[in-house]
Amino acid sequence: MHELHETVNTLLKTMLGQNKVITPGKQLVEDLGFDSLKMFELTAALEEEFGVLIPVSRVAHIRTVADLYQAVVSLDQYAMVESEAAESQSRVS
Amino acid sequence: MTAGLITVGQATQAATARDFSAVWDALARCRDRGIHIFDDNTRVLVYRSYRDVLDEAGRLAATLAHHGVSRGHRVLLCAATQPNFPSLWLALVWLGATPVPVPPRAALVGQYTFRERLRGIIRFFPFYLCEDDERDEILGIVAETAAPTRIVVFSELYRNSVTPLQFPERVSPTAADLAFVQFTSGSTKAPKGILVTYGNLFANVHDIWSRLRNDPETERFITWLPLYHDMGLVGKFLGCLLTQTELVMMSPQAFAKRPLNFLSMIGEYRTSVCSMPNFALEWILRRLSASADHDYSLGSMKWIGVGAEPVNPATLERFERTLRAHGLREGVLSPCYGLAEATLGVSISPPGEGYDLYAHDGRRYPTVGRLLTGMEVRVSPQAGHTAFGRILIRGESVARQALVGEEVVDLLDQDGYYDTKDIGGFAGSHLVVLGRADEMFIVNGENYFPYDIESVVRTVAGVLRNRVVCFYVASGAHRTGEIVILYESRPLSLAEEDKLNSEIERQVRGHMGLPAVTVRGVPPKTIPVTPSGKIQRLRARQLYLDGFYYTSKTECV
Repeated sequence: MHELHETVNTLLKTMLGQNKVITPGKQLVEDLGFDSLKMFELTAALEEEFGVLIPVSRVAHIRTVADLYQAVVSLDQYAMVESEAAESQSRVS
Repeated sequence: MTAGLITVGQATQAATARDFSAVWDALARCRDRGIHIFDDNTRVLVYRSYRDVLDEAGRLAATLAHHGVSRGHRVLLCAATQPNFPSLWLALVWLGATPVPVPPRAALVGQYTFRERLRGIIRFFPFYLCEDDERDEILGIVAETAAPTRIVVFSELYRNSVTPLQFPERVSPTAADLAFVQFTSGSTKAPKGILVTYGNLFANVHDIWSRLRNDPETERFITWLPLYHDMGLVGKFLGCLLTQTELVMMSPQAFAKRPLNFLSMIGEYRTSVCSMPNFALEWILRRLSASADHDYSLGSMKWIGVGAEPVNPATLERFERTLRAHGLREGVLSPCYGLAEATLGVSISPPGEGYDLYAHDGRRYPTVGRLLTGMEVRVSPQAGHTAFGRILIRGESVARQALVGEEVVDLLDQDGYYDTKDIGGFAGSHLVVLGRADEMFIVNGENYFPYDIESVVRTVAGVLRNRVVCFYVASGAHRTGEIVILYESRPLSLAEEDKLNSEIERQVRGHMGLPAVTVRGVPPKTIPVTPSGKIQRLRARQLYLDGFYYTSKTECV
């Protein structure tokens, strides 16, 4: 397994309990029982662990464990700023 | 004193002028106080003086007018805590339109929760001002409900300044005009939008500011509360705007992520007033226990209100004990009581008075403050109790009407009282709230209604339709109490039942955003109903507490 995936899974198990089965397809709210407070606690923990900044607007689109992996991979601070700029550009046009 | 309209401090008598023209004048004069808003996207605290907010509102009003917004329109407004929110709100007031704050998509977990909230109301509103990344989902809801709603994204408003800039005529609403529509108190199946007038708003803000002895020239509020909920909207944002009191804001999401940053900001900005629900005190305590080595400075706080959901004395005691080491003074933590139908506040204690504990039926309840000056309460006795009963409220700040679907319904009885459906009474001059007379329950500051949850469960394949009951047990196994769902089904194997339970939990989380529920299949014809087939929730709850369903399950197996 990818090292990053392992770190995310470890973090999830710390929050949810060691016996939770974590697979990429599991939905965070529906399957793993996250509420809004816990979702933001999780993103804060990810930001601290990986040194990334996950914008609030992005959190609403994180539905599955795989989305979490993706968020961490794609969002180092610089990439985040660039992608937001690109996003707003595309809306202008 | 330069604060406009609502005079406080020495002059605590109710302001007689109740129209917005004095507020416009005061905002125009106020260059030395304003609103600081923490921008989640840039992590920068953006400051604008009230004069700056007013100037920006004029520009936005011109753009909004260009989009067709005009006097009398009721406009859905994404109430995300972001630097342009104050100007957007004020721009709508400028045009004589009425803001209708709605939660931002980002605030609601669960795939369908946002859709559930909106689809019952969206078609009654001609405009929806929203974040850019909400647009597609809202378009989907508009299509699904055939709503005539026109969507305008924020970036369009900020960029498309009308040129040449012509400020539209500025409206000064008066007491009878509608200030905003508050949708927090109804269910998703039967949404109820409280129609709050400027008369209601001015009266309640005046009474709250007087009770807290706020001097707008020296006070500094801090909040993370959602702007689509009365405690954050009225008690912080609108109260500060109308009185030009300095305000520091961060989003609920930023608070949920790093609650201890909120404590740091209290020290950094020397703030004096804030409020939050019980669960937020717990959230702070939980994080504090994980990072005990940091020092915070809460000595500047004169009043921390605790409301919006039942207050737990044990939480108050732990919070006071733990935060004392960080400068929290005695009497600052102050449980209070209010509801959207009262605009916000019903009872609040002045700074320094704190609370007492009241023992009733073997439980302890904190007192929730003294009645605000303009508020009258009548306790309608319940059977078996003399001093306690349903709390009815009357006063200038109590809304008279609500929007249910397309209809405007009256909220008050013939004597002008509103039935809060809360049960309580007085301990001396302080109000005590014991619980609810109906089946509504509150989780993390949000109101939930059993029939909304039941209607989600009824759609799950395998559940016998119309044989579902949901109720709330206040002192259950979970942190927030226990939400119990019982359903009847055809006989199932244990594995099938587990699967069905999981699917019900998934659906409830997905549609309602409610995480911790207890789901239990029960044998056919064991959920009590009236002869006409109506589910008896209170009876089912009692049977559950008596262990009836454990017994019947065993017999069934």
